[in-house]
Amino acid sequence: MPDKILPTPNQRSVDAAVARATINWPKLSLSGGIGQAAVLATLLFGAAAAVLLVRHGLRMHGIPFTFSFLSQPAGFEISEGVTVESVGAWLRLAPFTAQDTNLQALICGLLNTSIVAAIAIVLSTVLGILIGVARLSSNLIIRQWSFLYVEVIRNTPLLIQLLAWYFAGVLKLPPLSQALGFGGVIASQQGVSLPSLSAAASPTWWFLLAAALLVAISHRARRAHLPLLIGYDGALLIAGFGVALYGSPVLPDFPVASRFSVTGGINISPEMTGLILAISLNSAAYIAEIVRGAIQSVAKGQWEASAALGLRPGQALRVIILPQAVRVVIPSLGNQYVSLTKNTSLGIAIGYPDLFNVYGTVANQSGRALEGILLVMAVYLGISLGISGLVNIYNRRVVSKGAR
Amino acid sequence: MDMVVQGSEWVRRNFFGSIFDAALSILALPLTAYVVYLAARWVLVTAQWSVIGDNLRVLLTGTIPVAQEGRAWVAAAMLLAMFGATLGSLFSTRHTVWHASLAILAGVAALALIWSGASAAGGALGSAGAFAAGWAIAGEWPVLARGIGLVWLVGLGAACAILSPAGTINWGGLLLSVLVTAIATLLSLPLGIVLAFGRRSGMPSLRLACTSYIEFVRSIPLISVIYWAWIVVPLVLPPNYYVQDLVRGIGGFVLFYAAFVAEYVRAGLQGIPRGQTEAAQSLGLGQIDLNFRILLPQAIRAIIPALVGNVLDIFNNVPLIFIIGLTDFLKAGQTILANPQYSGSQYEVYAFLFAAYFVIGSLISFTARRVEFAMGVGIR
Repeated sequence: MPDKILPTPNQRSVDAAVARATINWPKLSLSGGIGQAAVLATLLFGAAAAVLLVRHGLRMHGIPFTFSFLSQPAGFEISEGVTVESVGAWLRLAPFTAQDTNLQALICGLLNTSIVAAIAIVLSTVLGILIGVARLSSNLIIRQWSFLYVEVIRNTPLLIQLLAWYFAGVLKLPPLSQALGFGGVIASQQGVSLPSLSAAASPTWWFLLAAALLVAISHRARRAHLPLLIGYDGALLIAGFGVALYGSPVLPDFPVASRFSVTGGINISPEMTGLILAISLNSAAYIAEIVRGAIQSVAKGQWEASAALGLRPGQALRVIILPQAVRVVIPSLGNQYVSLTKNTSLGIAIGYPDLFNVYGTVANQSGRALEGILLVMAVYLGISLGISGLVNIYNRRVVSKGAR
Repeated sequence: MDMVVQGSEWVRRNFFGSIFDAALSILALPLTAYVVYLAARWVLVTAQWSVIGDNLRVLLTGTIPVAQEGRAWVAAAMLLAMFGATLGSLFSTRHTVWHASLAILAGVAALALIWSGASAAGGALGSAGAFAAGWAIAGEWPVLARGIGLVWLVGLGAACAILSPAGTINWGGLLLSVLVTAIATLLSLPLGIVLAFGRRSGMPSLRLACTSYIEFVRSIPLISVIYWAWIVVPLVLPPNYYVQDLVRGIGGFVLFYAAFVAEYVRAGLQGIPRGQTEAAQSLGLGQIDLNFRILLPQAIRAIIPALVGNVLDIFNNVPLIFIIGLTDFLKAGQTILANPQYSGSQYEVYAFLFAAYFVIGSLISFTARRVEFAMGVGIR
């Protein structure tokens, strides 16, 4: 006959737990309506209290909260950069002067930030891919050098890299009278000058060029069987005519260094050179790690299959591996671009007039530190959201193209 | 003979695997040798390292008055003991990290002896002793290891109390960098945990608030957050009330890094199998017990490598407090260079700072990698 099984302590506690779970305790559900309302009320109350506190504090200190400083004249110079100026109903870019408003000063800073960020994004991506591939090289020296590079960059503060590049690098270059020249590039204490192209031809040329471009685009758009003069051949033909009749459309413009200044070419100030160098080289190390991870995430069988098809390692990398790695890479790359753009705010340490630096001057001059920093934060938020948005769109396109 | 064959095979595979590799090696080997030679010659012959020895006090402790210097040493020893205890709760004394840390501390003591004489070397040795003692104690009493957060909280409070007669305005150098890193790490953790749970909450209003905070903070530069904290605090307080710059600066760090910690914690929470939640619920655990006794410990354990990486990130960004006029390790170096007497020693000072940051940063990221390895997170 089956004995009645005495409940062991363990079983008793399980029973109790089951009972507790089944009995409907009268409890206040936090995720219910009351809890919701309470949390919402607390949040709103907290936000309102913060705003009121700051307002009270401002009043106590006798400081008004107003954005009117934006339309007042800045009264200070910015070492480099252009701003937006209204001419009648139009807007145009013009160098910043002390008579411009504080808003125009901030726009100048924003443009300076954008230029550095854009250049650094391109440079760091190219360099980062190279180093990321080099990290996986079959050559020990190349592998170790790129490893050392990545480690040194990632384990030291960006600020010291920036200061070192600027104070111990760019500013230690020879003076302009003994500037280093290499392939048309001039480097000296006064920054770097690059050759540029200047438009030197007649307007007719530009019409012809536009026509050629249009023809080429229409070809690309339709890819249909079209008569002569439509398509790349046609575009080339038109361009050829142009060269024959009017000469080259653009002329290279080489910088020439005299004793105190550089004429011609594109001139990059020492501050901008230092900032671009530091940020690009820093970001390249992080991108290299992203690229390396992505390449390693591609299945090993892909390498083996490429080898079996007779592709050399270099070919396999270009044709088989990298296109697959790109899909893995894009989201992290987007994050890296956002952080690179945020890092341009370190320009203040070497006196590059980026957005944050210009804000600092505006805040000093107008005393409107709080309003200004809210504005600056909002702008950075906008930039970050913009970059992630663009990356997301690109990501969706690449992923949908490669979807299996 | 076998060794020779293996050796030549290794050389062939690593240097002359293909024609391209061989060409690269022939180009890169002499270049590498030349660069190493140049660097060694500069470090050993050309560079005038006396600037570091003369200013070591400023580099390590800022402008703390000589009369109060003992306090700085005590605080440094306490910090090192707590670092030792933290590492000791993660690794045993047989571990590589132990040997690496000891080697670095011995190197520092030797350098201190060369540059600044016996008293500095004694201080460095004392600090090394504190480090080793912390490690050994944590290994001996696991209860200390479990309460390591509390140890840091009490220890940092005590260190700040010991240092405070010197005046926070004088705190500086490496000591300040380490202090800010430690305090910001410790305080951003609870705030980050709260934010992470808020972001996962079932309540839309709370979720929205936490998500907006995290995403907003993550998309603006740290430097602007520090500046913001610095500006806003005096506005909220009465005109005659003053909060020290250092406190406001650290507040900025905490607010900023809490958002990043929140994302790590959220990732950790997401990695926990659903069965854990269901099991806890079927045992009748309430929401709070579920979150803090079941989910959080597992999440934290999974993200320790990421959190160690976060420490490195904070340490590398501490130099940004120059923006509110504080003298951290890097700024101390710049201050030295501002002195006309030393303005010619730019390369030496930057090289020293670079090397010091690199050694500390490498140790932190090495620890992160070891932790990851020890937990088997990295191996699947």
